[in-house]
Amino acid sequence: MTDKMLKAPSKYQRFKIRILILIGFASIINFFYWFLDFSLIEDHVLYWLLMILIFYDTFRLIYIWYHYWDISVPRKPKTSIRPTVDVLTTYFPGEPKDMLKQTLMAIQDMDYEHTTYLCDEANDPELKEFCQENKIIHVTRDNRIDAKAGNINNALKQASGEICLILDPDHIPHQEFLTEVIPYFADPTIGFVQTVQTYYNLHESYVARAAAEQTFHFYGPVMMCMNSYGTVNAIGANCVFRRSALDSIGGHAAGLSEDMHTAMKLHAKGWKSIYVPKLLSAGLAPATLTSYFKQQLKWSRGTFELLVTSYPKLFSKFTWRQKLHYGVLPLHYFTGLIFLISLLIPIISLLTSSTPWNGNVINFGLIVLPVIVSIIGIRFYVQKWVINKGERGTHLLGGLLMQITWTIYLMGLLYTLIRKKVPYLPTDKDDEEKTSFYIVLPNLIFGLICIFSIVYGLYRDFTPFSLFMSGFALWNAIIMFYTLRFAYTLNAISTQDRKKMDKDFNRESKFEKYIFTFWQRGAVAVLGLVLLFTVYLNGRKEEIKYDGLAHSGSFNKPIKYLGVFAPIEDNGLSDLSKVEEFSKSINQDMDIVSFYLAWDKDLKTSFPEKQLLKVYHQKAIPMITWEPWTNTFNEEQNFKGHVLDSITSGYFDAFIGDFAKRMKNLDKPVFLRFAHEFDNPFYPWYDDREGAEVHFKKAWIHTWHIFKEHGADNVIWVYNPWKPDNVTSFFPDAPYVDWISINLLNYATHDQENYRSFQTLYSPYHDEIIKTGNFPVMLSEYGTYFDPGYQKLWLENAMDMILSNYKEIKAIIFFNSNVDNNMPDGTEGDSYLNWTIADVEHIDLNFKTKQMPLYLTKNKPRAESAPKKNTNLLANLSDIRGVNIKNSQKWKQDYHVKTRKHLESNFEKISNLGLNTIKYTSNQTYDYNVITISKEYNLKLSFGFWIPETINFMEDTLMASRLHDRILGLVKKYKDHENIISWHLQNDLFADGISQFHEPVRSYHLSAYVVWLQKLTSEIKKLDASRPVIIDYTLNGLNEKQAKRLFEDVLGLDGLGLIVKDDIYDDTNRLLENIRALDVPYVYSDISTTVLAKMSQESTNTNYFIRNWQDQHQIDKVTFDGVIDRKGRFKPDYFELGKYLGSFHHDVVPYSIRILKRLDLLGYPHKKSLYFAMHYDPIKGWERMEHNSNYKLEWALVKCDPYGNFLTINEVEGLVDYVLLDIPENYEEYHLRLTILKDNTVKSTMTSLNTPYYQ
Amino acid sequence: MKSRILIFFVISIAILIFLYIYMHRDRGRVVDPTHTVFIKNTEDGFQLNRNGSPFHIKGAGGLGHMKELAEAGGNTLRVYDTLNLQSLLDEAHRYGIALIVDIPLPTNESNDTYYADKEYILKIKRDIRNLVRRYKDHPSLLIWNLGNELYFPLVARENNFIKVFNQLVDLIHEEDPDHLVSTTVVGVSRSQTLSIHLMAPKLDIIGFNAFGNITRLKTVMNAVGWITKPKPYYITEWGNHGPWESDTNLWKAVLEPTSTAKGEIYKDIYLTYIDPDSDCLGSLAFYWGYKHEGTPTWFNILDEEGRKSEVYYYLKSLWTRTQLEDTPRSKIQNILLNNTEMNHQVFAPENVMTVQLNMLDTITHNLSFDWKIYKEGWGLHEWIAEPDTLKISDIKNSFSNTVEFNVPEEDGPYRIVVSVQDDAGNFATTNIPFYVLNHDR
Repeated sequence: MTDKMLKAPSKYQRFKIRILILIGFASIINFFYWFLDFSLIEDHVLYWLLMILIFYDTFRLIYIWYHYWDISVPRKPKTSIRPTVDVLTTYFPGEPKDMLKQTLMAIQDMDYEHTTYLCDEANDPELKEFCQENKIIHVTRDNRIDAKAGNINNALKQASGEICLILDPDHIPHQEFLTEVIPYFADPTIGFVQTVQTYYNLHESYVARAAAEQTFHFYGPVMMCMNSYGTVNAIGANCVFRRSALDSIGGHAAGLSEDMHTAMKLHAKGWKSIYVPKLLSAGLAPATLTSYFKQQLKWSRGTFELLVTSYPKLFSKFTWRQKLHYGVLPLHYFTGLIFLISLLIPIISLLTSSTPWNGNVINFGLIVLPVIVSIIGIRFYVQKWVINKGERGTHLLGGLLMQITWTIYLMGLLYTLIRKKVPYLPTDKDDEEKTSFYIVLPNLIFGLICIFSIVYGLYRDFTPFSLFMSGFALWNAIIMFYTLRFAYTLNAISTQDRKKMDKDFNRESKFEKYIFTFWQRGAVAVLGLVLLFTVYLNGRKEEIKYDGLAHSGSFNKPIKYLGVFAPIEDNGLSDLSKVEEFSKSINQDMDIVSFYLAWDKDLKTSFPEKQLLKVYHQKAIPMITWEPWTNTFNEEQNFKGHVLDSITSGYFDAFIGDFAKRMKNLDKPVFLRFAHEFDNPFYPWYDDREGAEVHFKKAWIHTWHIFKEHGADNVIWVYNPWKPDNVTSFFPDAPYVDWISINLLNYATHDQENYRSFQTLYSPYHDEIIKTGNFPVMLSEYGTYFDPGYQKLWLENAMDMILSNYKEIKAIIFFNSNVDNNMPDGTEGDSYLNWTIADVEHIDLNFKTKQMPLYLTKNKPRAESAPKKNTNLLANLSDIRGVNIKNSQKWKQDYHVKTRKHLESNFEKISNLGLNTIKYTSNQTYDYNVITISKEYNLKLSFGFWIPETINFMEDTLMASRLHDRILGLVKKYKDHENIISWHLQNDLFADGISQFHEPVRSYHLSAYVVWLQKLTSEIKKLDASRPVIIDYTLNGLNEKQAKRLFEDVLGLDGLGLIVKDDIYDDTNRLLENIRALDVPYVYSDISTTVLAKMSQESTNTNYFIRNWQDQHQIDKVTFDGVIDRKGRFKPDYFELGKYLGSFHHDVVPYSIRILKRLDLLGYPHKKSLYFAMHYDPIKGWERMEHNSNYKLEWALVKCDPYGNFLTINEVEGLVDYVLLDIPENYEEYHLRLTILKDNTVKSTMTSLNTPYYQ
Repeated sequence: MKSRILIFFVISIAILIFLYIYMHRDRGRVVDPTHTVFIKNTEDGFQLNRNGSPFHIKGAGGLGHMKELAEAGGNTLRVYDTLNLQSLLDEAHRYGIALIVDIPLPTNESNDTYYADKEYILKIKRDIRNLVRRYKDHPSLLIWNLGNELYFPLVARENNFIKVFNQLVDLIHEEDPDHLVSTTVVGVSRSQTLSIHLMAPKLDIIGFNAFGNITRLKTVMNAVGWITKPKPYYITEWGNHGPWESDTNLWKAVLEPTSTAKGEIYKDIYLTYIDPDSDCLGSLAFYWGYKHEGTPTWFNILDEEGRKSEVYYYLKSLWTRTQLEDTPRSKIQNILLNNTEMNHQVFAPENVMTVQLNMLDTITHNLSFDWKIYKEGWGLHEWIAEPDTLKISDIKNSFSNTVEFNVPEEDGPYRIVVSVQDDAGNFATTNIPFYVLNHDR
């Protein structure tokens, strides 16, 4: 062991320590800033218990950091004083004599002249003799007043040296002890000098090691800091006193903590103290649990005693630091009580299924992390100032030992309160004693209680919170059971090994060295960064809480297509080599190749099948402009009249059918631009009669049906009007049209009168097209007249406009022909028009954001077409009066936690209202709770699986198959729960996901999805043939046939779960009509009470699930469609539902509230505006609300996204009947919500923030 | 040390004196008494001369009704546009009215757009030159008013706008030395007034559009006098408080006095601020005609049919310095909505409102009432105002002073406007705002 004196921290190191402490302190403030949010209290008792724990630990932490702030090492004065010295040691009967003799010999060996005294309580003859032999003065007495202190004071009566050193009998002093210490007494104000206490039995047992670990920091940085603060603790051993100082306080003070007592008295008298961080002796640490417990009991009792007796007496005489020191130090022994609390919190929490706090666990992690990093980081940094290198480390064992001693500390506290005395016994130095089982027992019992509470708690309530609490309890249990290891692994290490370990104690491995140096250098940076980073993340999360997340675009970024018409001659057919050439010159792949095909009776020769198939080879899709020229049909007798009429009348059915078959045989997508420019008088299919639009639509739909009959599903229908005026009037609409196309050609060079910019040409179309809905637009003939120099300008400007203003344009077909003889006035000219692009390589024509997916040039995924087994299990369901439980679906983001308490109270309300079923979407986290607790309440359960609209069934097969496996896994896991009545596939991907694609991508996705569904449902049926499988479908009166086909296509589906949107179905007759058109088994999967009540006469005995039980409230989503609000209060819908179900007989008294807003221009920064709460009095009309104790008003700002979804809700402080609102930036994105709360019922109203002009 | 302080003071005073002289030097246009219209700087201040004799501007701003103006004793009309200028000038000549012609210009806010566009500047110069050339010899012409409320910026260096403005002033002077060039200042802005003085020295006269701010006019002109030599000025718009400065109700709807009450208001303003101001070269009441500003009736001295309001008779009395005529006219006492005068009533749609107009005199059979309900056209600027598109209910020629309305179905602010007409060509008008809130669905 080294005996070099430690160096005090350099200025730079001291600065670093202080910075670290400040960062730690900032972390604590940050923690409390967020944690002290009383709205998040769940259970008050638990919360405040937790707060005691947190406050105590924080207090202790700050106290420790306070003792790292100013580490110092005293300077040894150069002096020639040689005071006389007495060295005293004590003996108490029972202590090992060999140990004492060894100590006495070492004392005698010290190299400073001194007189040695043995204060022998036993008056042992053997020791007497030993003393005589060694010239040691043997002192004894005939009483045992004041225990050790009395013993010493007795000896001091004889001793007369100016300085006295008191050594414990186990402490073997080094030879130079006195020589090192005496010079400090040159300063006459110094009362005592304390040196380090170390142990030489460190490796004797776990207890010894742990007990020693507990002292490493104390004798290092902590005492070195006390040295600066003038609060050095006198330790029973190795303390050198000035005799006159001792005499001034009437000798060594008495008590169980006689050492601390003495120091207190000396400090109160104004004596100064010094701590010399130098190893000058070594002693024995308690090696058994019994002896450790005895020591701790003595200290805790003694220290508490000092706090309640001596401290108040001496208080006024201390410096402020001493006041603090002696006032706070004893509080350490409250640890017992605190640990009891930390044992109880998880136990109570688990047994009662409640939690102290219901904030977000991740947020908690973010605020607690910097504190933990600071605790550890600062601790490691100051380990530079522990006495020996070997003392560095985590000191985990020391911590554990402290925790398991909680019973003893508690006893010490209790004894102090009841003023029970603990007999003074010297700290046990004898290892032989066996540990009594009784001192281990309380810990074992608590350990078992912890384990029991985990099992019971998780069985009752399985939530992220209960899991967290179980972890907490498990950790406590491990600590408790660790007691056994401390108690019963004595002498685990042989003496020889111990010696080796003692020798190696200070040897550092390279790795340890590296880590140590790294930390000395990098601590500040790491702590600082951790704090900044977590503060940032947390702030960001809070911001999101307030502002909501920007909804990321879904994966289905629209695919854009680029195509070309590149003929060699005027035959309407693109030449593939010319296509290739064009593609290369503009450096983009061509996705569409355009062909013009006139009707020709002789399809065998005229149908360009080979060319078309080649297009797919080139990874592109063909487009056929199918022109109903009738010249080849003319010879036949029956044909007369207008071609459109003849189509409708069926004259061309065979021809069209033949063509459709040929198209179907291509088996891959093909765009069909049928009867293009039907309103262009140039073409014979132009119709100048009254009602032309009706004729056209009829002919179109007739043709469409023929294609469908022939199964030509691969055809994509392109509708191409010529004039903007006719875009809507001739429009056959979905499902007969997939794309709208516009021909956009600028027929002039820039110097000509009729030169038109892209915008002038296109905007009239745009204004019409947007009226048709969300159809993709194709520029089916696109170009500007051959005009070197100006073409570039026109095209690049056009592309800018397309990309910024006309986002509906999803395909562009370049008309790259120099063999066009169609004149703009609709005539056919003699010469050819040249549409080719002059300097095509230098024009920026970047249009596509991503490449067209290659699967489009391959075959569609094929669904099985096995005959459907009609199980119709849906018929087994009857009298389903259900409600959707929508919140907590995303448990990490949701503010509602489905704890047992939450579920119990909600399920009770649900059954009391007269409902008998809930529909719940699995999120795995809460499955267990929902299934088991709903069973307890006799609620049936429709178990749902969410199919995210973001899954790309076409390309991301991994995601899809994972979802498949997960759903099957869940079915397998839960199928034995009897209260589950059906499996429900949720989320209508037709309405929300797939329909957002355009053809041909949509069909591919749809097919892939259907294939996936087939596989899934058939496997669910294999696992569980008894329960119906239902799939959600949003009723909209448009795609009933599609839905019916889906139902029939997918094996194992038993019915549709109808989602009925209120705004679409004001008229229930229409709703019933649509349902009849569906003609498949169904339940109402998602329907409002209002619509249901309206229909009650027409449709009885239908199974239904009311829209939503409770308003959802997630970090980035709020809904107001629940029956109860987000805080669990009853909304008018609740009473309406109750009335519908016959549970309530009285009508709810209707009352209205609204917000009156002012005519204010809100768009200025920092603007405030007033909003008034109004209520309607049947007699007086609308009135401003007045203050009234019968109700309470809540104001909140609701943020919305551009699609009208509510993102966040944040309450704002209102006054009696109005709110003065800080107008947020982008106020158009917000709504103001006013809620009136009467008893436990609420009514709300919402308004935009501004009054629009021309409202 | 002392000598240094002395030197400092001497130099400072010298600089101040220099600055004073520099700022007060006459940079204006040279007065030429041979011109048809000119301003003479006499001992008693500025004097406007027209056709060789002094001329005091008494009139209004509007777009016609010159017969009525002449009958009321007015001598000047300010027209806001150059549309149909020929016929307006001719009509003015018929009634002996002098015309102040507004030449519209973009404001200083367009400094970086229009005023930075050289082609545009060339175009307006060409247009203005043509305009001035065409009408400069018309006997009715008095003043070219170059731009209304241009927001002159107080800047150290001329910006594009000021440069162009001065070029235009010179251009008009060059083409037409016989008439004056003025411009108007919104409110009575101190900084804009100063800016015009410092930046546009050749401008002949400043016009103030002064409503509630008219009280500050003398103070502002005096303050300008401390810095530089003040220019001649006149009042280009005046009247009762504008909607922008008027009282509002609970939901910030403007509250308008009855047209009957406005008569006294115009009189008070004229006698307190305009008539006694000997420095002022004249005034133009606002508005000689019919327009929507805040409400459909705010500034109307005449209605759409040319009927006369109380303000007309007060102006006539003021301009002609005679007693207020005592002819029988429709005069409004107050308007009651559901029997109260409260102007912040909120209704639910299924209700019926009763509106009653009380007159000061007995109601005879020759009164007829026009009742209209408008959606509140708040936030609208008058030049895009289309009050008729906001009209949701219209009862014409009712002979009862009480009517019932169904409350409109849509949420929002509304206003009931009533106009009462007699068969002698007079009208009186008032209005009352209300709000509709539907029951919460």
